[in-house]
Amino acid sequence: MKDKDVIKLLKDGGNIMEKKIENKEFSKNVVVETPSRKKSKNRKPIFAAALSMVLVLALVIGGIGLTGGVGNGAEGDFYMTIDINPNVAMKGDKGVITSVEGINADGVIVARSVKGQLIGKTPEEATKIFVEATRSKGYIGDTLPNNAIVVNVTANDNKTENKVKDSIVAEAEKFLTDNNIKGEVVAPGIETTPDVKALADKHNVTVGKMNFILKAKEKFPEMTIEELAVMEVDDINKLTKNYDKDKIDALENELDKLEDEFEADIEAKEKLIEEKYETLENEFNAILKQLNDGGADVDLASVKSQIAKLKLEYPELTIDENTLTKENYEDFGEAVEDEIEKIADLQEEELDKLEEEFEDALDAREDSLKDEIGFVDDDDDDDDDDDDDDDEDKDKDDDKDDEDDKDDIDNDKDDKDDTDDKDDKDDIDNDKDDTDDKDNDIDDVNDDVNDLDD
Amino acid sequence: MKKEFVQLSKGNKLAFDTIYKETKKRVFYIVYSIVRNYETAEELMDDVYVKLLKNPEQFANSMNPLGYLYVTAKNVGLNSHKKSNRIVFENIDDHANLHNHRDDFEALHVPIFELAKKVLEPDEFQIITLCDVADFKRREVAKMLDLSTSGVTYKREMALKKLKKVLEGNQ
Repeated sequence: MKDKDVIKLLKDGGNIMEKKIENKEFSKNVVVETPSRKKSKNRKPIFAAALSMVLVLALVIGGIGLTGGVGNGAEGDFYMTIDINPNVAMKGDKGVITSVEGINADGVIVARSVKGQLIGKTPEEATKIFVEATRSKGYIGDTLPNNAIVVNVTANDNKTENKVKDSIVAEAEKFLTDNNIKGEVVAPGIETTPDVKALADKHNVTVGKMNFILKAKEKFPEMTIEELAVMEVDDINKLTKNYDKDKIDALENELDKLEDEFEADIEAKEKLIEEKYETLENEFNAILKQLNDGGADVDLASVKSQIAKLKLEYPELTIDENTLTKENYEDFGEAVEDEIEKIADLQEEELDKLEEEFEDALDAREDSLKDEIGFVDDDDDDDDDDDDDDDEDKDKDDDKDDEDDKDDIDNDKDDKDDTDDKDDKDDIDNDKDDTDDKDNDIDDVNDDVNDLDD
Repeated sequence: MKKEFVQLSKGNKLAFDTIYKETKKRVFYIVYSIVRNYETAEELMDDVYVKLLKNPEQFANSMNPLGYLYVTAKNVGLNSHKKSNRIVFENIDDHANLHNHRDDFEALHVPIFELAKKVLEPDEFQIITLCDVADFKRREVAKMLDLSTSGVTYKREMALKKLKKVLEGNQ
């Protein structure tokens, strides 16, 4: 167990409490508090004051939506997926998220970065946090041409399912609109066709689960709906997404190691920064003491010389020691206090900057780690698979068409398909070469993506 | 945030909404880190805001109203903690019914916090709650507890080590 695991446990515990605090309405609790002020012998006026305060607060706070959203309404277990690449799956109970899992490499990376924030949140809050994290890591954004957020939900009952789904779709759409991101939110089954509903009823599953099943069936046509219906939805989802447990585990382990290394490094650097500023703060506190103790008789030369010496060592200091005179030692004392405050701010800025640098370095290292473990971009992967399936289907059709030789137009189409297939094969071969080549860079991968798209 | 405190002192009651929304978690954790009981902390949290509503000028006129609010939270927590052995509610149900707030008296025991309460010294519990749960900066915690930043770092590390050891032993 690592320090960060303990911290994660603490944060998860905190999330449970925060959930309650978030729902707390202040106006009610004013009534709670007042009678407990037992010091007063005259309870009536206090109670009256409390009542008047409640009335005032009811007017003031009335209508504040401190709670709200699906969190209060969604009671049953639910399972939701958000696929942007990163792909993530979240399980929930009683309206809040209880577990989070990255389904592909990017999903693992993003989920780790926000996992502590997601547990205990409502589905819409979790959606907001997750999509925000994908944006901050550059997976979606206003500069990208096509952004798609695919969500799917299944729950113990259709009512919860729809409620959760509606809420996360709304949140994802709001996110795109608020951030001027071009894209769409795709939610299979949001306008459920009677066929899917009938199929879901027939197999005694919810519409959401049937959507997962149908998606899997598209990919694995040899599997029957009956076979898929008895599987856990998590397994169906992972099957559809080419979830590679060994690689995901390897990535998790490597990320653990990486975070430990970074954590140790950042802590050592933080300690240096803290020591530096603590020394500086102590020096200034000592100067302030001299000013306070000495008053007008303070040793001006000594104070000036101490400040000048500190300024040589710390050029970021701005206090002007030459303004100190016997007449203005009090004002100068205030300037020293301001400088101490400034030192604290500088320390905080330096620590924040350090954390940002580490986060950037960690992001870069995470990406290279993904390549080293042998992940390929999941969107490409999915597309490849879809293309392969399409190609297979087309090949079957083509063969049949060739045999029958019924239609010249079909033959023309076959020729084109064959050419496309050959191109796809060449591109896939190229991909393989690129993957083998350890020196390949992001541009190569992007070229491959473009080739495949072509 | 200072702006909201000033607005509240000028009678703009809506500014209270913003202050409450933005600060309630931190206020709660400051109090909770001292009294170490969810229900009590939740009650005392209101006391902090009642103080703000009763005398908003005092907060607005301070150099750092937010810091003043947090110090108020700390003092409310400390005062209650000192009195905690003397205040005994005769009947918790009566108390709860009186306040028409029964649901919030439902016990909320979070295992990791229960464990932390048992194995950590009060100041260690306070530091990990403020640093790792409430996300205060170590410098802020240091100021709040009259410690040096490195003192907070050291105590936090010790607290995490203790918790880790017990958790590993439990596995």
